[in-house]
Amino acid sequence: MDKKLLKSKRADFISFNVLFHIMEIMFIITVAVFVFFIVHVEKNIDTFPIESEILIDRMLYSNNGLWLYDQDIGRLYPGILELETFKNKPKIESSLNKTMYYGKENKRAAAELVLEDKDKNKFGPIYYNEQKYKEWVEWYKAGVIEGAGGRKGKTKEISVMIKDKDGSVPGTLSITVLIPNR
Amino acid sequence: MKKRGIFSNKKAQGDIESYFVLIKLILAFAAIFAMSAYVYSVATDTFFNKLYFSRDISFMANTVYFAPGNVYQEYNREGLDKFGIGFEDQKVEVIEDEEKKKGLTFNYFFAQDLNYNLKEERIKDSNKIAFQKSPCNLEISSELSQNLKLIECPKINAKEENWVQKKVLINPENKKYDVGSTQYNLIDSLGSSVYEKIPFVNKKTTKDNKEALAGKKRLIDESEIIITLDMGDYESENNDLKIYFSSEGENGIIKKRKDFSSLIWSEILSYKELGDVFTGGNIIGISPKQTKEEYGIVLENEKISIIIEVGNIKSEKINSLNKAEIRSKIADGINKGIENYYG
Repeated sequence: MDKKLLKSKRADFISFNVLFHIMEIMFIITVAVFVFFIVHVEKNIDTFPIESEILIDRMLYSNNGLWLYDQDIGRLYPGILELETFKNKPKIESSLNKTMYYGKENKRAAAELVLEDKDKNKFGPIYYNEQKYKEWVEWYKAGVIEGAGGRKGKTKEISVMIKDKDGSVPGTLSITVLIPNR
Repeated sequence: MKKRGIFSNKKAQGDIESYFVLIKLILAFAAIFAMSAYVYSVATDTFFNKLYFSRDISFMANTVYFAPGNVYQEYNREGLDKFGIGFEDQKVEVIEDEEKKKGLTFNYFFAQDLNYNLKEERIKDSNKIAFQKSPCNLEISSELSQNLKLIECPKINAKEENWVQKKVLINPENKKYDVGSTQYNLIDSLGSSVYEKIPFVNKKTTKDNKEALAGKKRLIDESEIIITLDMGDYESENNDLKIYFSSEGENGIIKKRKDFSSLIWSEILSYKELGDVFTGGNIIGISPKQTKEEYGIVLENEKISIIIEVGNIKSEKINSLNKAEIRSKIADGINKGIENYYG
């Protein structure tokens, strides 16, 4: 037999062997991914309603949260917001990040807060985890809310009293919370 | 001509075959391990429990963080003792057998509040998790390990050399009551107990002051620390321990008064005997101009001046103060609070 032809046949056989191995590995990977899916994804239950409420409450009621807090006497005034505090975006955002710390990179939650007084003057927005909020909100707006990659969201409007130097005026605080599915 | 490439000889072919077999074996073992852990969870019916507990405990931690004031929350669930519960890296981890780690670890995130020191311990063999929040700490343990009433603030650091040399005034505020009345006697004897026990070298008391207001003002001016003792008088069965301080002045002195009050308040309530006497209370910042005249006189200055209101005269529990040992414990608490502040 021609030596060249023999060599070619042996190379073909080797290629077939390699191809067969690769297919086997792919099959095992498929099985492993399936098992991983069953174990880690299938277990999902929807806790978004309670989780989002807790997040909103933490932003409002924590000692370093949005509601007016008198540190001298340790008293919280639910429903009352200080306008000066709300206008100080870096301070309030840093305070929220410190109050709700999910690790160096927060992949768990994000929120946007907008305040509007009775004359329709808007203040804000203020963000909790701004970078992720701006990233996730596009997914949320696009309706990607189901499955492992989805982000669920909710907007809550709360009636507040806005405390200023001149007194208090009624207003509305709008909080949009985004939480990725897990 | 020399052959090139990885399949150029039989040895190389053998090597590559071995690599493939090795990769397949690793993948197969990983799949088997994950599957067996899953099967174990299903077989022992713990799959849903772990899922439920990891989330529920995480939500509980989040809720305790924002609940105002001191909090003691006991999370009690049947079947929790089958699992080991850990709190690490802002995650609640649940696994069924901590020693052998047969099952899969389930975890769920909770948001840590960095304004509080988180003291957590791994929970095992217990159906109960105790969440205890004081103004500085969140403690997660299987048992209640601290008195809920304590205001524990380890951040207080007011150590001073020769603090015992400070001039202190003990002011039992009983002159407004009739001589011989319950209030008069209780405050009088409590004032004596406190005066005897406090470690200061330069201490004075208004107890024997005959000059009325002028004399009292002079003693206040001469002192660096003023401790006034009084009783509440309000329509309630509550017998609260309240400490008032002036919330006016420089931020530094307000903080000092507050810290000083917190430690004394905590120390008094740390005695078991007094836990039954007092129903609660707080430390309260007030404006000297907007309070009772006698309080205004002692609070309107730039000093550490506090008013300790030891119970409510309208409450039946106030009778406990007739016992010398109870008054002695209150004095001990005040003494220990001062030592903790300066020492």
